[in-house]
Amino acid sequence: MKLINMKPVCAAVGAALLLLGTPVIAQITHSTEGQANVHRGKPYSPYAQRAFPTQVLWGEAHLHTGYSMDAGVIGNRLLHEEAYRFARGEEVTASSGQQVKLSRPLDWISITDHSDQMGFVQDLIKGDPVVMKSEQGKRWNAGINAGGQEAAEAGMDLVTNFAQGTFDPELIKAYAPGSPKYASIWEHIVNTADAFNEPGRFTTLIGYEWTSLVNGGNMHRNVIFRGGASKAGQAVPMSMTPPYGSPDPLDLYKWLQDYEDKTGSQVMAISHNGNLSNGIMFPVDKQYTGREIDKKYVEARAKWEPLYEVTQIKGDGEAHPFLSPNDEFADYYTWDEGSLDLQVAKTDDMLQYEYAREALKNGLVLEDKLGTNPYKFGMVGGTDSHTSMAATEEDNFMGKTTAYEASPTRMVHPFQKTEVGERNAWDMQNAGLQAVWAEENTREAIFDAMQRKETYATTGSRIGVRFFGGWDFTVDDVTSRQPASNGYEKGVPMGGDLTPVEGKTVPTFMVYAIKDPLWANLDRIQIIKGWMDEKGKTHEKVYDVAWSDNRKPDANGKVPPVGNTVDIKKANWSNTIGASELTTVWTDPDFDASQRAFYYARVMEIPTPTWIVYDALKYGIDLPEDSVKIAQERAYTSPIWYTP
Amino acid sequence: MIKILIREPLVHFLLVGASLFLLYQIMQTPDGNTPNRIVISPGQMERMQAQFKRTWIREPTQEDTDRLIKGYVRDEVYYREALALGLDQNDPQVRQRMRMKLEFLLQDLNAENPPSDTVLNTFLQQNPERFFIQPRVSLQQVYLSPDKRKDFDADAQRILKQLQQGISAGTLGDVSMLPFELSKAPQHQVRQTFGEVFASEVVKLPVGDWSGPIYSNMGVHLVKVTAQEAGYLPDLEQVRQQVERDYLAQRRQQLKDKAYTKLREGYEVVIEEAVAQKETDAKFTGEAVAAMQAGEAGQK
Repeated sequence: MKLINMKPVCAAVGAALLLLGTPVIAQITHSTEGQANVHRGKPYSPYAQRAFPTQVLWGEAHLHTGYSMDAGVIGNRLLHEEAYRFARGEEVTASSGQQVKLSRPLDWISITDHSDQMGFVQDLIKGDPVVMKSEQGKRWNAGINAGGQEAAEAGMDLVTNFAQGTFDPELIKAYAPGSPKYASIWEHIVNTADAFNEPGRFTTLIGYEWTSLVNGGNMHRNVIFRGGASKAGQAVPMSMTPPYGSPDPLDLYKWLQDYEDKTGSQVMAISHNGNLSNGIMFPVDKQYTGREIDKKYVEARAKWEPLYEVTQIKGDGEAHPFLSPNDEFADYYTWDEGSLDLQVAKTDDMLQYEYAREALKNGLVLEDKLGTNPYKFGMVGGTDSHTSMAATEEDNFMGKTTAYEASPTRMVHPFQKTEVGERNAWDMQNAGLQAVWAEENTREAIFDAMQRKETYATTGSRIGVRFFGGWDFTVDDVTSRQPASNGYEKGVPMGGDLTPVEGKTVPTFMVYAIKDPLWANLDRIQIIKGWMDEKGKTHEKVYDVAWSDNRKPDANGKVPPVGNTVDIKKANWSNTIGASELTTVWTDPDFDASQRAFYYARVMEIPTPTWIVYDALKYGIDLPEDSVKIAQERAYTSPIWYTP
Repeated sequence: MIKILIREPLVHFLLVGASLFLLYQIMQTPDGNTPNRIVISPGQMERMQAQFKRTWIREPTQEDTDRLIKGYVRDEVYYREALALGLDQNDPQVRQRMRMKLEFLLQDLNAENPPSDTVLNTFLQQNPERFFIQPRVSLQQVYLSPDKRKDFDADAQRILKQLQQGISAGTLGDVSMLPFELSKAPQHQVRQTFGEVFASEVVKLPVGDWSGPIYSNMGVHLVKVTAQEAGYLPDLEQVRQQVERDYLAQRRQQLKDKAYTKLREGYEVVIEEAVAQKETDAKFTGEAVAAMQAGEAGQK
């Protein structure tokens, strides 16, 4: 039994709490037992039902399996079953033959294979008349239904006939693709999801990816269903290929509306990788089709796209250094060479339509102009892994595709190389995860939490964060026993809205974070504010609001770097800097009640080694000179919006 | 080939995707088709409309139907021209699609009938680790933050005494985001919440009274374990769905492997010298290694 890195942690949280003012310090130093604010307004009994979400559930809504054509071609042989097993914490054999396991299970997952391959057909034998007409069919059907050894023999007999070309051609024809009896692979997908869905323990949300690509510009959306097979199975996914599908988001919205109307269930879309869209993910004036951004567009987008996937293997999309030159953490796994396929180069003027923070700002302008904010989204992270494995820990990275599963050579091969530019394999970011504050681990509770944007993104580690906005938060709320209870009682959680309240002048924000218990300490919490001035111009500012190690902010309020303990040779770091928890209540010092604004929290971890550093140690290889070896993982909460 | 794909994976598959889809729909050439004649039979029409209906959950309008026909004809023209040029040859996406398709066909012809209870019970007994119900612990904990206390060991002893004397836990210790209690939490949840050390220590604590302290990388914890449930192997009834799911998965895999072996028996494989030499060279590139590993894994 050892107390790990206890001292620095002391200093850390202590420092953070110092900010909270003298009354708090008094409270802390004396550590008085029995404060007045304990369990205010709530029953003492921890077993009593609470009317707000108390669990953070970890998962992701962006994973591809061998059903996705691109994944399959590169050699991914694992399908949904293996993907679910892996996510639940079981050990699986990766397509590259190695054994892989997560350090801890995920609570939920949504597998999102590309819809453009789902037309692929699949047939079932269930003693159907067409089968029974054939002598072979009748025999096999009997054998298979007998089960056990007989079934196995029937199966082999069938394969033998098939291999020898003595298969009844009528039988093949009856079940061949294109026959009226076909069932789509989608049915298999939704049924497998149902089989692995265990309410309370592990939730499978049915999903698919609508892979719209225009001139190599990424407009992909993941479509997530609230219902199970009986609902989601009523329609096959929309593809981006005409005549059955379309690459235009407006057509996707129409599909989503039709689905809801017909099934009475719910569905949503989550866009991702605006960073590879070459300026078409978050349009302000015109869509890629040239169609003007109008009421119809903003209303539909706001309705169907409550979330944005802000971080994943193909780069981080929160902020770009060109757009946020004063944000020292903005340049994080920046992929800005060009379009998704790296055929069209990126220009600076595209960036404003690609990154989340800028979209949140532009959304304020569009809301002012058209009455609805199309970019009022919550933040989520996903992997977009094409290996069927959602593994986001830096010491457990399984790559973007099967070709980049762990191997001694993966990091030095270019990920993409064209005349436009080059993306290195080591540019792959081992991210991200989606945390959901939900009442329980079920499809309905998770979907509903996503719908109300009570979610946040992390770049892979499991940082716990709460973020509330209100008009009356005080230090006592965050130092009480049940800050969340105060949070819901006196304000709104992440994803919520603030509107003016008579007699209140300045909004307050209660934010607290706890480190991933199996990973790194926390450096700081920041609140990022974006707003629109009276001239319709947008602005942003990053505030350091809580930090570790008793650091002194400079004249502009900027807190100096936390330091660095990473030992690259040993692929190690120590939690001798940073804090295990950070908490504060922050009041906006620059608030103007007449201006539209949003606020979200960014929680920074202390520096840790990136996956290539673990590769180098495990395989005994050298690291490329200009590669990224140290990174500060982070969490991005969904914003809280203020509307005058 | 893989190199090219890695460079431009999505463009490739998207371009090919649509035509591939139709490729399978028209494998049975409708009667009346000749190389320069595209016949849309009532059957084909019905299939297109059915596919439309399955996507949009509504009947296609005349306008939709016109678009379906136009799309079909365009695809068909390209498809036939491409086939005439042999563009289906040596295309990794076509090959992948064909392999997948045949694997599916064989798997589905070996359709799944529900296995008997005896079979499932045997499977359950033979794979206890898969279905074992994890030990669960219910606990309450009082957290002491080393940041807020000069002598947390002494404080821990003092507060432990208070707890044992029955002072309400809700008023003791320091505020934290850590939960005050866990109810029937499986081992992995304890680990996820409190970390490695805590999870391994907590199982050694007595049930029913406050004890500790236990240390974690967050701080110091006084813990009252209210219940420890041992892990156990459940009855079939309790886990029937999972057992059946896993059993069928295993059977499918076995059948798939056997089917491949059977098909493979019909082939003689010759590795010619010069080719073999080239393959050895290729081994030094990452893609080749990954591709080979992937190939081998797939053939298992």
